[in-house]
Amino acid sequence: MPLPLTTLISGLSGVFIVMTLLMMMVRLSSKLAIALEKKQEKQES
Amino acid sequence: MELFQNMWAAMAFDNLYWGHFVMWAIALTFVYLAIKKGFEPLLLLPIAFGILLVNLPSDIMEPNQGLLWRFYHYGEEWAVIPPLIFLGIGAMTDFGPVIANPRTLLLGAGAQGGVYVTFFGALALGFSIDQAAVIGIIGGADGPTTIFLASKLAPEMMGICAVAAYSYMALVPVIQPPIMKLLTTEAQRKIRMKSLRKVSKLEKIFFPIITVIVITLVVPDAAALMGMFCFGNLLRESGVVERLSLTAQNELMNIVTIFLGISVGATMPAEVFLSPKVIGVFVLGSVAFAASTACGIGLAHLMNLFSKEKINPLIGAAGVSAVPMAARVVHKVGSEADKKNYLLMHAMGPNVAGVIGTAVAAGMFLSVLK
Amino acid sequence: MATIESPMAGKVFQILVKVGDAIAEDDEVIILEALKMENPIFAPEDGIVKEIVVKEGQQVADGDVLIVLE
Repeated sequence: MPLPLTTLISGLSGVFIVMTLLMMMVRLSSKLAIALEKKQEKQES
Repeated sequence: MELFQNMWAAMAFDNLYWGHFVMWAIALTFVYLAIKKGFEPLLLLPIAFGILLVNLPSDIMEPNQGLLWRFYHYGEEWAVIPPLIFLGIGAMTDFGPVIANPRTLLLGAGAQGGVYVTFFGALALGFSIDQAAVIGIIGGADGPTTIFLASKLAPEMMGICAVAAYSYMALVPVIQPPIMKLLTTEAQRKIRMKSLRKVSKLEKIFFPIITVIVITLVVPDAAALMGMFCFGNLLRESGVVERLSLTAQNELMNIVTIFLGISVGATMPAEVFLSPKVIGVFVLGSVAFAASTACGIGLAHLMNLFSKEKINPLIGAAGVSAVPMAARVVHKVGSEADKKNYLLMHAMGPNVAGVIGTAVAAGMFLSVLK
Repeated sequence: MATIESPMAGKVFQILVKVGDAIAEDDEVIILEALKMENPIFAPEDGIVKEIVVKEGQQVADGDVLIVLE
């Protein structure tokens, strides 16, 4: 495959894979953070 | 008589040629634009002065001895300054809108489409593949990333691409609105978005940590930029090192901006700058901006096809990472259609995601072309 | 009783109405500064200003009540 095409395909797919993965991980970490904070609130009260 | 001859020889007038005068005019135009029109003065003014200095005959850019050469060599060639600027940007950025609506990360990726459109445009115009990558990344609208990639792939393009990126950033309010209106209908521009949920402190602390892990694992070449970016953001959100956070976003940022600006300007001596290729870079730069805007909006339309909760397609245009100009433009165009539609914060999501997207795109270029 | 809520986080830059003012839909009631941009906030419906909850210079979050109408 010619180099420009390799650059295009790996580049575009790379950007979208990273961002999709990041989106999923951010959702998960948000859930974890909210759960942790709830737990802490309960302990305090 | 001989005395005067020797004095004349010691002066620099002999070495001048017409190109220098053209460069002085360009430098003075930038000075004028920065001071009188307020075009990105923080960067344009140092760049303009650097251009002026390097086009006065002296050894200021002479390798291993010139002052500006040293700034350039240790700051940019070693790729030290762009990541330090990212540290400051990280410390300034509130990721709340992204955390509240993680879908906007995809819009930050979508706008990078313009980078690749321009990449092929530049190849077609006869630039080498390394140069084409640097010209393409202008479409991400991110100065430090452009300089970072140029230092690694095509140092000879650094000055001109940085100037193109910063000039077009100042022109975001001119370039974007016509494209945005062309690609959306009045009804779509009126779409109101549900107000963003509150994001807790712990979520904000988790975000930079998760981000740096994910991005570095997938794109190791983006580690320098994203590592500093996430570190800066953690300084901000941790809430315990306010001194470090403020230093990163103010003093340190200002210091490196001075070194960056003046030495980027110094990479533009007349012999390099006055070539037909420069016009090509400027034309391609505006294509890059326009294409990125269009790609961002296109992806927003696409996402609306698949999801129940509609987003206003205008916010896709904020996927170019000119923060916060692009978000302001979205807000303005949106409020022209419906003045009670407040899109500013919704547009900040794709806008800061665009910064990440551009850095990742640069990392992908590096991994293939380096 | 209706309220005008802040559509975004920002700082109250200027309050353009007084308690007792009759306002119509789309009138500018408050200017909110966010990201160094002054954003006018418009009244969502007709009404009379009953209470102004915020002060000029105050930081507000997305969804905070700015003005109570009656």
